[in-house]
Amino acid sequence: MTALLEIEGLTGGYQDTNVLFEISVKIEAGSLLGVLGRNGVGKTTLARLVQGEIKASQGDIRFDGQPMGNQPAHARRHMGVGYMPQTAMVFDDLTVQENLSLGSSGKPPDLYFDLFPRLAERLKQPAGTMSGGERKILSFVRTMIEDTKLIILDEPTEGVQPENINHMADCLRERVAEGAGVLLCEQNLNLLSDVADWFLGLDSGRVTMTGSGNMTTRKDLNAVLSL
Amino acid sequence: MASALLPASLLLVVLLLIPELFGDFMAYQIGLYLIYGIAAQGIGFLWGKTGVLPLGQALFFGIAAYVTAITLRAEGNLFLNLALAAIVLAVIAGSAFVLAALVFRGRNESGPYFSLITLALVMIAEQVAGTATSLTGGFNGMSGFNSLGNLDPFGGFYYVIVAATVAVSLLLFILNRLPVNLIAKAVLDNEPRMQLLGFPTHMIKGAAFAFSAMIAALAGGLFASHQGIVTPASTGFALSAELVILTAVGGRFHVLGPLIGAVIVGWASTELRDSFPYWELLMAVVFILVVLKAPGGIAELFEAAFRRVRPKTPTSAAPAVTAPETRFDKTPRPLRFEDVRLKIGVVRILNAVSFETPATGIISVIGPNGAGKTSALNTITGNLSVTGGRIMLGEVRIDSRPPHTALSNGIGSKLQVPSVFFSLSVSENLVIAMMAGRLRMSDLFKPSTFQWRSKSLSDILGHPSVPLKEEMTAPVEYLPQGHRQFLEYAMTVAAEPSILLLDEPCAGLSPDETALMTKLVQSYQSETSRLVIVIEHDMSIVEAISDKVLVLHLGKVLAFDDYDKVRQNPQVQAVYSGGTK
Repeated sequence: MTALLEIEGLTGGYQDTNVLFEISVKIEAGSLLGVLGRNGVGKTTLARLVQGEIKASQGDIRFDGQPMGNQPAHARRHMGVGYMPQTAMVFDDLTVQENLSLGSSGKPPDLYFDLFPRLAERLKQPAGTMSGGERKILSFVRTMIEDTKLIILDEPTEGVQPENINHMADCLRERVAEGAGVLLCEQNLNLLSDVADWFLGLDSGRVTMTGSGNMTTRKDLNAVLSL
Repeated sequence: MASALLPASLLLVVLLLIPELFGDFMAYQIGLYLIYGIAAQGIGFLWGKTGVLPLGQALFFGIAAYVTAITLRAEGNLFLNLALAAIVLAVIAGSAFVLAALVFRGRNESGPYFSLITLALVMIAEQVAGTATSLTGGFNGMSGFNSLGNLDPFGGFYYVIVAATVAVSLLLFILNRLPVNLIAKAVLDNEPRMQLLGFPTHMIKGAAFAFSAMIAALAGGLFASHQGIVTPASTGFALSAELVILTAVGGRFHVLGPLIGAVIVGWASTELRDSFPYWELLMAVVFILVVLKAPGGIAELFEAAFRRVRPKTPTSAAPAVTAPETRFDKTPRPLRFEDVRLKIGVVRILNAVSFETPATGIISVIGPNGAGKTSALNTITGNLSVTGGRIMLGEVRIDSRPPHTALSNGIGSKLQVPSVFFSLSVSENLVIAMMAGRLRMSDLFKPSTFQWRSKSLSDILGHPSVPLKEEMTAPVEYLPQGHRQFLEYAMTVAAEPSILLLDEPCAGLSPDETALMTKLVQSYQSETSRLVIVIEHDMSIVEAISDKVLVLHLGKVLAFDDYDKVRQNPQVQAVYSGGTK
């Protein structure tokens, strides 16, 4: 069976400097890959390479069996790749409702309103009036309700209160159960341990650890993150 | 400053050779292009460094040209003429400064509105120049006056233009090597951060606009003397637009770019005008191509070619010098919120918040997302103006003041999403931060200012695990978010603020990096005995560092007490349990 996302020998970075080297990994439909590592090891670069914001200097990316490496970001979105960047991107002058309707699959976000009632309370208010954590949640929910097969999330829990992080885990499990593949770059080990089916540990732009969710211990994860 | 003399000397030699090589008529033509080039250099300085695009620079060019024409027609002596020129330049600079400072006051971006105001002003000036016949000669303009010092425009006056061109270029080359240049670039990059570092950005942009206006006026005075006629077109929109085009084509980021643009476009226009009927169309296409393919203009192409032949060699960092003391009151003072209210649109963010901190110690602020934590900190810095109540620092009321005054009260702030200068290197970010709260006017023009280093910054950079040391020359744009957290923290602490506000400094950090950041914060507080207010969700950090904990919920104070009491408070438990990484 073809994996949803296949990355083979991926090398890339910024301008003439490569940050990631020869990364190979697969994500099956209905599974979540947790990518972890200290700051600066290349997690965000991996997310941006797969999303198409930056181009790889070497290697292949295949999505649903189709080569995707040469496609621009907007084409990858049409192919079914969703992305939540590290810094919450919301449209400040649009209301919460308008933000959620952009790129939406049309699926009612009732589940998300139950988990994050603040969004429902603020539907008619401009997103610019929300706090940093609320904006992050809005950005997360908008990514969740898009009609996508692969969801890339770059540190979604930054600035989010712990109760809401637990709700984010519920949302991720729901989307994975529906068949989506998820690439989650994160440093919150509680969340990663909770939702990841597979782990990919990075250091200095190279893979230093892989393992399944069942077999990888908290000690293994801590070792990847230690200074 | 020797490095500034070399290009200026080369420019002087090239310009002096022109009459010898190409004759007086060509020198006359080049002299005119150089005059436009000087005015364009002023635009390049303002637009390239601060991002402010002036669309009405002919206003100053034209006013100076008319005043010069009136003066020369009166046939006063040279000394009086020069004295009057100095007065006119001072009036123009003062007016330009006041205009820009007023327009930019209370804003933290340059926006198109200032450009539109300058556009409107130049259109008014052109209309006035065309109708005030008794003063300006109306549509026909003013003529019938001799050149400055009775120099021949086809002879000796060329050397006056050369002197002005070289002097302006040398001045700009020197400014490029001084702290004032870095400050202008930082304003363009991140104005809100500059304000939190205590820089009045509206004044900086006002000063840059005044400087560019003076350069335009100098060019206008030369123009009148060179051409012997001044018409309303000299103060019109068409000339303003042409000057902007010369700047864009030549390159606004390089001192010589506007001069190159003026000479190349001027020469090409003259040559093509008589031989090619569609020359204007051709020039427009060239302009579009240059803007699209080389946003830095022709000068950027020249520089790229030069760098291929002679790459830049990295220079070793100059040794650090002890920075002067910051110039704000460091007396420990309690911070007091008195019935503070904040409403944005229909949303009530803070509802009658009252509390008083001790004068020193670490206060943690916790609460659910949307509780008002960040907004409370923003009311302290002045980023948000309260709609009721007041905030007192000791006996000084500090709410609703402009953000650039916060540091003068000893308040330093690290924001929720790291706010740093993305287009600058790590070391340039730290240089700007070192100037915060210390800079005097004279320091703007001293290269030694670049070497300032405070103990607090040295302590951070000297820590073996802080990741910035190996990244000093790296552009911040490519720094990972966690490293930006450390950079912004170092920048905030560099000023050694009396009150350090930290909004989720550990967001995006791994557990080990979180422990490191926590240790840095504790060290700063214990060594300086200052007040630190930190927003945090990780309760293990809150427990480890807090002298007191402030709990906010729905814009109200739910509790303000010791950690253990807050933890046991049933109201707090009902709305917020916190967690750990």
